[in-house]
Amino acid sequence: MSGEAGLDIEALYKEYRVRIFRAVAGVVFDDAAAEDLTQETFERAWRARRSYRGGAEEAGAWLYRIAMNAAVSWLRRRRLARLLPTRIFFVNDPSPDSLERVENRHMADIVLAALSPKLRVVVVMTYYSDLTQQEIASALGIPRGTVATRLAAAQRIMRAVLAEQPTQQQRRTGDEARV
Amino acid sequence: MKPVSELRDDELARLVRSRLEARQPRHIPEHFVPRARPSRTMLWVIAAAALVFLALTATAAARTDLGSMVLSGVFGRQPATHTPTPAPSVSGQRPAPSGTGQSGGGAAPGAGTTSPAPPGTAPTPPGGNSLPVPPPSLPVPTPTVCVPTLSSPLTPLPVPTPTPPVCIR
Repeated sequence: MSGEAGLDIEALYKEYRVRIFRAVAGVVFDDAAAEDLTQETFERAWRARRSYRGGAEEAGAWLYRIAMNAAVSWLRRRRLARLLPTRIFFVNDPSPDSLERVENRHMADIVLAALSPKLRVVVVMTYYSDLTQQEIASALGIPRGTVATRLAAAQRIMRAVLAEQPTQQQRRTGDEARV
Repeated sequence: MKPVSELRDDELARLVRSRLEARQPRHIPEHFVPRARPSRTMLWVIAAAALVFLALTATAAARTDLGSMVLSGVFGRQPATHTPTPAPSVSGQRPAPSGTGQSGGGAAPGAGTTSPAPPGTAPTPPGGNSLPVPPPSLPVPTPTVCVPTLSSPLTPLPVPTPTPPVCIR
């Protein structure tokens, strides 16, 4: 994949475009922006393909690094890091899911939205990109201990946020009591 | 759903992962086509034009006369020089419009008559129209050069004590 001409961006695009899109969408909470940022990620990779010095097996981590930097920059520009409406994810979701799956998605949106961009990036890369903590650390340019610290902090916040959310059963009970 | 306190890390991970995997891109093309970027030549041309503009602006700010001259040359206008306005007629008569009063005379009032000019004014030529008289020249101020002088130039002090500048006229 790597050679004198640099990386084969077309091959990387076919392999990673959906994964990059999902990771970016998990950080920016905006599908349209995630699509644009995915394109931007591969544009940047294409421009830097000749200067890439890593191996083919590290190209995925390199792409994630570009994508996460682009996503965080986008959030910084929009200044929406802590003001994200979580209802965005409920729009245009036509799949006939069970109530529990819908509730799980709702919970996942809430806990991700509660995290700061730095923590969210670590959570998304840890839970979704299949990279080790060392790979995430090198991709983000931070020490491995910082990755572990941020992940632990994010898990604490996520649990706390989940603890504040009533379950579907509790909501149903509350609705019945109101009626 | 389990109580939150019982959620293990892998279940939290599964929750987030399932959410992310539910996302599907809609407008991402199948093949990667890099977008065309503006050529470097165009960027250089824009940068050069910006530099020239900045240089002109700085010049105009530093030297108003030179800047206005350059700008007037760029825009094809006469430089905005400070031309003295013609002095009003001393005889008190309004200057006649061109082509009247000078030729075919006799009809214009005051033609052929000369009003007595006040002392110190130029004589009015026959015909009634007075020529613009330049205003009396004002005394030109002598440029003042301030030269700091040393109290004693031959004193071998390491740091000469400057005295207040003496203004020579």
